[in-house]
Amino acid sequence: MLFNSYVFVAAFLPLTLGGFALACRFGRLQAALFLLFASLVFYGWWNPHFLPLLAVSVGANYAASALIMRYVARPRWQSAILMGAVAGNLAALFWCKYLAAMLWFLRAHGIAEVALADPVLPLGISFFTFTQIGFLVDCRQGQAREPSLLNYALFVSFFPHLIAGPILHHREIMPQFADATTWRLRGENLAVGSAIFLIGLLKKTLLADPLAPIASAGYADPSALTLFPAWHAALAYSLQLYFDFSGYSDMAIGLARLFNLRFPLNFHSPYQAQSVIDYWQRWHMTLTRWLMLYLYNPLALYIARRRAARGLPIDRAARSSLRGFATMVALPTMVTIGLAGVWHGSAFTFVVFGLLHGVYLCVNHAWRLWRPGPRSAAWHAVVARVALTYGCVLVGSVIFRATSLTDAGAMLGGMLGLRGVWLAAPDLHAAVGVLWLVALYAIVWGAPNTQQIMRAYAPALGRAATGSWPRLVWQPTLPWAVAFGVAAMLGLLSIGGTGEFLYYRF
Amino acid sequence: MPTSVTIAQPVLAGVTEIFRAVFNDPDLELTPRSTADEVPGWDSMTHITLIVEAECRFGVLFQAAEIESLHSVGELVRAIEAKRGPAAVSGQWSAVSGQSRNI
Repeated sequence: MLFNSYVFVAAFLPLTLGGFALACRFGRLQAALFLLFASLVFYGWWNPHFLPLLAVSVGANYAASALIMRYVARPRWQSAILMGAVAGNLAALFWCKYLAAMLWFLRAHGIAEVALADPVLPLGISFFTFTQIGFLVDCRQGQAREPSLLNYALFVSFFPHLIAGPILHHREIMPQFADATTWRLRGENLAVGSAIFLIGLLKKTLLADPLAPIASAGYADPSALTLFPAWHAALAYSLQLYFDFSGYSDMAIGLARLFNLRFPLNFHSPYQAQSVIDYWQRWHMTLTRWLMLYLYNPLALYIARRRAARGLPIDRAARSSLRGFATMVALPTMVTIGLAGVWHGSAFTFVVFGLLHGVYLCVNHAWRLWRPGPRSAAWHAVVARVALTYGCVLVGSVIFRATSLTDAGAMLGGMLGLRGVWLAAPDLHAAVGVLWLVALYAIVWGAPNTQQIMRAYAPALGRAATGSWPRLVWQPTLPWAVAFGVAAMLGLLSIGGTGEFLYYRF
Repeated sequence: MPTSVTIAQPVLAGVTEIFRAVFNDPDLELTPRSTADEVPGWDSMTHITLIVEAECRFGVLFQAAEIESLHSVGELVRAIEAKRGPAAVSGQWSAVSGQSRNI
């Protein structure tokens, strides 16, 4: 079920809110059970055949966490259980997400002859698998403990984050489950949650979806594109991805808030980033956090400890040497961000996307280590940094979107003008298209983002939003009510022609 | 934040020495309230260096999952103090052998 569908907005959401309010009257247990039931309905709506997979995943991981907690006195047993459980999770992910692609590859190259049906990816498997692996690792390290199966099942499968994140951490959600005030509808949270949801809906329906035909047409045959059409398609997709995922993240955060739960921030104006390191701290922030917690940090710690144990230095000077940089910076960075690329899918383009961003990050870290002086705060330096970062990200997004590396190369070639400058005489339609892109970039680079608009009501966990534009800070006043009433009408009227969220594919 | 009353000064002094060495700044002054945002260069990589240097100096072992939540000097000092306490002996990093029981 899509957040931007009539069945969700007009039926599922009101019924779930009403049912939750009613269940809260009977008690916390009933309310949590009701939310779990509603979440399973939400998940099964698209394809009920995958419900057992979700149930088995939640049940098996809960059992593994219980075993890990039971054998506190036996660390080796705990490690063995953890490894078995992580292997099981990754095997399920591999089976659903990568096996078919691998078999297709083998067949296409005549290596193995296998009969295959079109693979159907269970929705959200990458997200709920990562959420649960994180929980198990924390159990093993003594950082997590959850004796309630109901709490655990709701933590994993709560519908606002189940399909495409944010990737939650138990430490930020379990205390909210334990808070008695969570379990009754609250007017302020209904107002704040609705406003955040509406902003997300507008981003999706009015800004992201109209760009989809331009991007799709361009990427359908990039080898035919000359300079301007290639740039038009590449920029359209870059903006579509931005508003789509930003809109989705807002809607997830807003929906959770309706039920009194605050989600972590997932998106913080990433195209305003002044470096690629900064970009990854603003784009899909909860995936970056997960990768730091469970991949980068353990790997970097292991390498640093090994060096320290051998008496080798681990300080900045050591990282600045070529050998130290390769082992302490480049290796953990490339492994982490390379796997982040593959996390998005089995296509070879995702491998290259990950490696490209790995190279970006290594260059960025090298620059931080070896740059001649401190970073300039002058406005032209800021503009140059943002432009350079966005240029790098744009090249990455071409590889991310293209159906093959050949197509990605063709698109980049078109953008470099290798096939000429223009295909046809410019017309009014093209001029309007360009003006629309300019308006969208003005929003991306100049307008306050959702958490800045909603900053008076702590919209999300994590980084507290600051900013100027005090007149654009949301308040529960009549003018804002009218504005959001109009926004709601626009959003609802534009739902009909909208499509799936791009991140549902991952 | 009750940092000033709960922080152990010897640990804070040791942590300050580590920071001065890692950031190559002998005049660096830290308080328990100093955060990653306030100390120039305290990024994710330097954080790993600080943690491992602290492990070696104080004979403690941090779990990978917990270091991400140590955003200030005070939090780092308190975490070290908690691990050096009698209740947190298991899983300690041996500064002598340089080997961890948990790796």
